[in-house]
Amino acid sequence: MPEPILQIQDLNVRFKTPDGIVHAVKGATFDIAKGEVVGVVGESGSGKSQMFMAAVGLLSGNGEATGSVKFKGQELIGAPQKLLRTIRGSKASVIFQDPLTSLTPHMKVGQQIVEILTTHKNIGQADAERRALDMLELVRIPEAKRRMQQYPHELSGGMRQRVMIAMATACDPDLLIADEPTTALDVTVQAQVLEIMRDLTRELGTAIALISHDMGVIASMCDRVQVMRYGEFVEAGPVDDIFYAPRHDYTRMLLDAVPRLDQPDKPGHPVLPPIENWWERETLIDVQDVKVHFPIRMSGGLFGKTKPLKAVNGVSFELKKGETLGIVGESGCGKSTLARAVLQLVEPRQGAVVWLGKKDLMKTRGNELRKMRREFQIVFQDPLASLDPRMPIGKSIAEPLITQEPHLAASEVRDRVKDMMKRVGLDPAWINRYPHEFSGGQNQRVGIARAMIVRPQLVICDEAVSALDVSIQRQIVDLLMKLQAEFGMSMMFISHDLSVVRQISHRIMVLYLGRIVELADREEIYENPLHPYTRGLISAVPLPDPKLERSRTRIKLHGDLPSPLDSRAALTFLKSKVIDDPDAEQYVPQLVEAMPGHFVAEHDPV
Amino acid sequence: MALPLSQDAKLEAMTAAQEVKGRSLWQDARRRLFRNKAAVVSMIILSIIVALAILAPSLSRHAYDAQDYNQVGCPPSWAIDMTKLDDLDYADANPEAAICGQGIVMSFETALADWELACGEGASPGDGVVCGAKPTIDDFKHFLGTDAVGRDLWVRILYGARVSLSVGVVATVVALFIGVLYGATAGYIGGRVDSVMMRFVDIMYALPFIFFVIILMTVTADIPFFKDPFNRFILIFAAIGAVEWLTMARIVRGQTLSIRRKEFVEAAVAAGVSNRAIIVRHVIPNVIGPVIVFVTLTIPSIILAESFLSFLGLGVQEPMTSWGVLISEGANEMETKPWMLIFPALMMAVTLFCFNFIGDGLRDALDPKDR
Repeated sequence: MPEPILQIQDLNVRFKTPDGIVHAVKGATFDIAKGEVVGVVGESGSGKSQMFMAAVGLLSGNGEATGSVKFKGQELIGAPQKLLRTIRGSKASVIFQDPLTSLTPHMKVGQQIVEILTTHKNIGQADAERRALDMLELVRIPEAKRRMQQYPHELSGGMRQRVMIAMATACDPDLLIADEPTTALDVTVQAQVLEIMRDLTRELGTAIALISHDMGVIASMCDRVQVMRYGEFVEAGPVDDIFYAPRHDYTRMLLDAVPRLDQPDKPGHPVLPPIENWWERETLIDVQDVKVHFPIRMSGGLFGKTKPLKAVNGVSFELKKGETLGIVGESGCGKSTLARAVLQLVEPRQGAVVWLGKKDLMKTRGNELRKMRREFQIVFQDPLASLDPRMPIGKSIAEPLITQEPHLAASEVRDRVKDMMKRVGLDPAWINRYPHEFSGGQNQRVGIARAMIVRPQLVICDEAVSALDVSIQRQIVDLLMKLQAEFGMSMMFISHDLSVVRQISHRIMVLYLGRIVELADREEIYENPLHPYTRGLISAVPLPDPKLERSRTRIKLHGDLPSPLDSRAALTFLKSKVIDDPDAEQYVPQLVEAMPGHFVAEHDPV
Repeated sequence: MALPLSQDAKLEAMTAAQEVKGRSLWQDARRRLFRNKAAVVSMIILSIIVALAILAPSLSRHAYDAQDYNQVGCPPSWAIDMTKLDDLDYADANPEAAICGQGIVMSFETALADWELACGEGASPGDGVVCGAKPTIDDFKHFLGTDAVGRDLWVRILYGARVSLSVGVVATVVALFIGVLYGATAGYIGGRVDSVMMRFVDIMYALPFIFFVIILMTVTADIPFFKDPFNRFILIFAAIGAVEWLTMARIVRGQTLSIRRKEFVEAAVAAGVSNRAIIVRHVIPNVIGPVIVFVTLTIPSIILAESFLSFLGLGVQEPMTSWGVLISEGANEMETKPWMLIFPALMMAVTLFCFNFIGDGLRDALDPKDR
């Protein structure tokens, strides 16, 4: 075994808080060798980030680290700030999760890299600029020269994370600490960023400590894995051992909870009952050519001009009773806006949403619409933000009920609230608690109980599990499937995570820039994707299976999502018809039925 | 910790907990408020002050506007020997007592002797002599002393409390009511309505407060309805409240704007809750923290604003008084008659402390995260 770059010996991290001392990391011991990628997996609060923050001396003021951290033989715990600064900047760099907050907003991207180089490398301005440009090209930023002169807010999320990687690697570090580097990114961008990191280890021999909760990312990147729970390593070993022969229960539980794109129905979990006789079933909602265009103010003229942002641009689909429709797409594709348009929560909107073949919700207003709302409810992404912090959860759950059925007696409301709490796995004795007293998963159960209490016929889950840890995610998905079996409601399940959507949905719709690119059965869309975007999306999802990951060939989608303000963007996959003018009226790709029940948007042959 | 999913067994145990009753934020807040010692003590002190102000006429044998020509500018009666005010030796030894002794027309003994002579036992009151009650030493005693024209300070402080507390509380409630509703509406509706509503607030801001009040007071001076002292008094509330709500509206509007975008408001809309119920149930409870802090700062500033108006001759008129007036009079006489400043200022300070503690307590009580 080569000389380890980083040696952590019995590292303990404690935080002094008003509620006593929190022992965040308990005696962690491990090494990272040159050129090695070590994954640290664990759920939120397991102390995985704090361990590395302690190692490079970035703990917050109330934290204290004991033990030993040796970087190339040099002790870092208790080392003077000056030494730590030199090491942090040039020899061991950190990439943080949020690429927007970790770049200085008022400095040009190029300058930020140059600053690091001139500080640590002792080179002149011109050399530093040349090197910065090389770095940006290395992380495959297109038009790197122009990007150097841009501010962070002018770049997309994926681009910013690439700039962060360029900054972190500018001084040829021996160790790169990547703290959830791709969690905030879309899958296709994540695939690109991971590949850049993979190339770095290969070409420069940089060791990477990859902190992640995503087993797929770990499987595709790492040589060795450390599984962490409550500040302790419960299991460690080569990646294949961890994935194929996990010894600890926690690792097994974690692997079991991870959604797998290639195995939607895992043993030991509720199985999605198929929808039989789809065509004969009653249609719950018929969405016809829904459009949501937001006016965006552009500079120019005395008062500026407005340009429509076509968030949802002509989406049509049908949802049958008892069916779950999965909606997948990357950020900015209009999936949340579509949900809100169906629920009549956004203005302005066009098209029709026909409820049970009778009533067009788009034309329903005021009190009539408010009464109709009992039939369609929504579960939000952020469980804490979607609950009133000053309302006890019992009152939050009861709110739709007392709004829709004001004649109910207080005792009856209470009984129904308690009954619903039991069904979603909450203790009815907790009705007087406030949302901040609960974990994310419990709050999401509250959100589900609130949506279900009026027994709606349609529940829209807008990224309902995206903010949760995998094990909790699995529980919530199981709960939703159980409730669907019980109440028979229809669902629209929106997520950026194709694997979760595949677990729970009968049919899957892929959105791209406000339009449907493909709509098909859950099996069909995975086995036989027709649209190049769907193929790229499926290929970008990392599988929690290291052997499979190594042998997979990826279909790459280059670059970022184009701006939805650019009318050419809609024709990304139909370049043969594009008119090269950002403001021109473009051809609209039509949805064609390639096979019975399998719709795909027109695209150039691949 | 999250519950495991298989919990049918656990549900049995849960049924036992069925009895728990639902509580609202307000019930929780009341419970937490009454656990806050500083707030409870403040509430007790404040209720005592309010009770004193209400019962003022029956708490003192002196009227608030009666001048005692025997004791002009006298120190508190417990600080001096009341029987020796006209004694020159005593006056030499106690200069403050001497100040009030100089104006003495009659000492207690002389007054008593006169009364005995005219109306006492065996005396037959002559023509034009009206016999009052027999003078007692208490008639000559002024618990907190007298002011520069011989009016009893204690009873004047109590009467001043009536004006100051009601101006402070009523004007604040007016400002709170208009400001919160106006701000919450502007912030919740947003868009063009918000712009128009807030530009109006900006225009009102641009008018200097004093200019506004002087115009209001002089314009209404000739209207017979406002000549009545009580109606004029109401006008002061209106004038002060009309200015104070502007800041309140701005604070509430800013908070509402941020709350309106929160998902829990969207969740309420999705549940079919009406706009009015959303403002009352979700928006207002969540803006209340900064509002309460602002209220505790508003009450003292209104009490001071009232004294400033009175000083300009636009507020309460003599012989009626307020704490602001008493304090400004006391400040003028501070070197020779310190009690005229100390006692009204002390009362005001205690009251403001109480309001602040109650405000803090309320804010904490309404924040469920603060346990």
